[in-house]
Amino acid sequence: MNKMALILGAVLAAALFSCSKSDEISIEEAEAMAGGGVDEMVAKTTAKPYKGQDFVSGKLGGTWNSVMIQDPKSFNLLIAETDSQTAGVTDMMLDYLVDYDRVKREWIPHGASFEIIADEAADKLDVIYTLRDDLYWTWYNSDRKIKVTSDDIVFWYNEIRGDPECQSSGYYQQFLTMEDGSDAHIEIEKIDDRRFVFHFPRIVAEPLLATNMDIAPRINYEEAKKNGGAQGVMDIFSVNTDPKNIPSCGQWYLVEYIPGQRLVYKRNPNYWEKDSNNVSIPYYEEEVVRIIPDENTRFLLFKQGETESWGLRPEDMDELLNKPNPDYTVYNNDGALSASFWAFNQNPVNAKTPQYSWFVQKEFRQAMSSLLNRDRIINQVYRGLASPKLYFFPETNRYFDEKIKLAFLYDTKKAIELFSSIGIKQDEQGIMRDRENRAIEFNLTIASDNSVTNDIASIIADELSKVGIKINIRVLDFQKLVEQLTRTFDWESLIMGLSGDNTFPSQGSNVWASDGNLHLWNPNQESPATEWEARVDYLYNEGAYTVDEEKAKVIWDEFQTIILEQSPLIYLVRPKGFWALGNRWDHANVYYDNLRGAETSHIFLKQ
Amino acid sequence: MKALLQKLSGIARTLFSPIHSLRRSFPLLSYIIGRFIIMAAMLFLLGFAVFGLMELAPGDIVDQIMIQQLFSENQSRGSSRTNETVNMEQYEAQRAYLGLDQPFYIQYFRWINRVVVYHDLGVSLISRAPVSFLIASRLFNSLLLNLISLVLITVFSFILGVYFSAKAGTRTDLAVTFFALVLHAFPGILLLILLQLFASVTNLFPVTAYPSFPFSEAPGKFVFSYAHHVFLPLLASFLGGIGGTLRMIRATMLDQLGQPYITSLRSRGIAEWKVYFFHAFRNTLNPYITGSANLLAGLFSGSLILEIIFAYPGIGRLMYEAVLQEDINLVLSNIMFISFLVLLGMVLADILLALVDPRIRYGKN
Repeated sequence: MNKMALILGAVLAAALFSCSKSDEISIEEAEAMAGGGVDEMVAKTTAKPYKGQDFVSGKLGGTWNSVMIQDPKSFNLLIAETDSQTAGVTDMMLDYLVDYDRVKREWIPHGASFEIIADEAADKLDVIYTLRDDLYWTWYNSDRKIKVTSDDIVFWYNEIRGDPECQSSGYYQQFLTMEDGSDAHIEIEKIDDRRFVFHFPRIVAEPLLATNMDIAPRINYEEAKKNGGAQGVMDIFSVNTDPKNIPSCGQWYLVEYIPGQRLVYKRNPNYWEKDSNNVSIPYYEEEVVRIIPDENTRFLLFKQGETESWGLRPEDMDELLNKPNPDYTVYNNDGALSASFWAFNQNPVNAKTPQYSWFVQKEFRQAMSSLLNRDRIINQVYRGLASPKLYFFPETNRYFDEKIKLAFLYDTKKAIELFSSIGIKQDEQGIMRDRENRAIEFNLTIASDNSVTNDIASIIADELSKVGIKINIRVLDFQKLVEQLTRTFDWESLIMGLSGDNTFPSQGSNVWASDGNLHLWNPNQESPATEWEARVDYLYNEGAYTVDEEKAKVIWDEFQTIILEQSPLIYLVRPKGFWALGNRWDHANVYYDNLRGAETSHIFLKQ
Repeated sequence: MKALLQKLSGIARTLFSPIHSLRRSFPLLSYIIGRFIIMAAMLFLLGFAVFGLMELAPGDIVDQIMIQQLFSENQSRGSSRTNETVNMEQYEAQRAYLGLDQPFYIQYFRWINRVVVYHDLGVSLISRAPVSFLIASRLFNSLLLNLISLVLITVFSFILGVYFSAKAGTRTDLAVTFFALVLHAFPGILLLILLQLFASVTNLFPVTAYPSFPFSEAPGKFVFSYAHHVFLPLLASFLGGIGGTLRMIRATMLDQLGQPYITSLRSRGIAEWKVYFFHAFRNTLNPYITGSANLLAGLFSGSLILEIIFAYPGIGRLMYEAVLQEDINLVLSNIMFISFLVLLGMVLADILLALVDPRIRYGKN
């Protein structure tokens, strides 16, 4: 009994000690701890950006083991348009017309070469594509070989993308807005088996962006459409199809799919891209993709050497960088090109709320940007491994200009001045109040599936509380959040991210144009609600149709400047990227940077 | 009026007389038929509730598709203008095509019509793959895992439960009862994560529960590899289930051993092992059989977490993904199928009870 009492006492004492206040650390200490050792950490990694270096010749053989989060929905290209996992699978068997060199910032031929002919007098433009002569549809373990021709492209453009019944996301890409506001169709015409031309009804700045597409097998889809119409097209190549029946013109054949378990690809020896020894790439013979839904399990698989590569999360850094004699190499890059942002709802459906009256004032948004402690977010959330996003366009954009930079950086004094200029001041208790004596308080909505955003929101709430502004963090299911953004519009402020990185200035028309359905702060406007939005609309439209780079630069410079000045979206930070690759592979042809991600197209096993 | 009532009751008697005569002649059969009718009614209501709940959830599958297009990263080679191609009219057309613009009860009756009349579970709304294919491709894995768990839990629970009921009050019994309680109360998800970490740190076991190659590639090797892979998840499932079952069997045994008929048997000098196994033990079967259907249901629902953490290709994961994507056809078929299995288990348990316990004879008091 005495022994029991002794043990109980010890447990209680341990519990009490663990609750003592002396173990707690201040925010400043946490920052110092988190931010410390960044250089040491980065020093343990390798920087190897791709600058157009030549690839060395490799040897054939080996299996590349990788993972995906969930099963593909289908092997159908129309369904792949709506599902990124499915697109990841089908892309392996496809090729595409042209590529964009993000280092040189120019388009380069891929499956086809191109020629752009602009008729300035008639304000019309043609893009002539010439397909490679060595592009073939082939099947796994079969001698069947069919040449890819212009008919494949013309069929897909007219009969699939161009048929509204097929509900392709590419349908609306086939139309241009003319100067009089009407829509005109971009026509396609076959010249011969290898050449086809897109006729643009007016000159556009990026005709290749609008016409570049995947090469799809007409042979299967044409028959499906003839037999079953649009539904027939959507019904072929579902996941119960034998994948060996799917033709490939890309680098891989899909030879096996076991639901919930794995996909197996085999190298396509007929693929046109070859190394200096005339050997088709890729070099490894097989890729096995296991379906692993849990992120931690995927990480454990990498640590056990069962997968070849791993994109490091902040919490993996210590473990992977401090492992003695690792069997992998960790690469780093300069930081993502895009970033999440903080937005404020300016939709007039909320006009009666006090928040609306604050959010529509640019000084309020600028003050918010001035209260965003980017360095603290970088140190506490990203352990120092990030940088603030201060430019609107990324470095890959032709119109990126270092001089056009966000002016509202962390500066509490400046924020208070900006508030003061619109009648928002602190009372005796330090609470920030507007002209009508209403305390400044609003909700900040974040998606429930992201712990990083939660940490950022907490930092924002803490920083704003220092100047007497109360933020209530609302965690919401992503689906519900999207519903608020696109239907109910009853949010106040939120943190989220969008796809894409604005490499092309004319991308994102449904975000930046005031009538866009993803013009987050006030979507679907019949006419621009503010002067600056009207100006952005004008510049956006002008820029999209201005080919002359000097003239275009003037337009896009003003476009960026207005968005940074008005701060409808306040960008947060660009986390650095870290990526680990197993050392059983030869790293001579491996590169990693923030422009192209991991370059492993010419990877091969060590000799 | 009285004549009318008499006439109606006469019609009712005529209508129900075959049922009454069936009940009289074949009480167990009529009981089984009755249970199947109740099962069908329960499945109908369950499906209705599922459709209703899915209706209450924000958005639908078309919204999911829209989100994918709006927010997915698909511009690596500048070939796609994802943000520019989202059109609301297109989505409304798609919603109408899938029938999602109809009230949920209409959608539900259409679904029932297709399943009952055409024997077709339909296609997944998002992938357009046959639901029957999607379920069939994972069902065997789920059944295998859960049945192995059930057998292991049953065997060990009986052995340990009976053994420790004989040792009631001893220190060993106290310790086992304590650990059984701990296992019963221990969060299953934590146990799974701990076991996975154990596998990762020691490298003794794989961190996934299924071999990385298919059965057809090397059947013999697959069996051993499967046993190796599934050991830890099975252990988690076993530990999670054995605590409650062991305690139930031990308690029932102790309860039976305290009954006057056991004292009577002992006073007649019948050997103790006979008292245990021929008398007390038989009476522990009733609560176990009743509870085993619930245990199976628990294993099915509990295996979802196992399937996600250990990447086991079972039906739980399929349903989880279908719920997240609001693929109502797939969700409904999955839930109905699993519910059917569990309800069938319950009916079989009842029949088994009637067979093992001579005191239970349906229709004969």
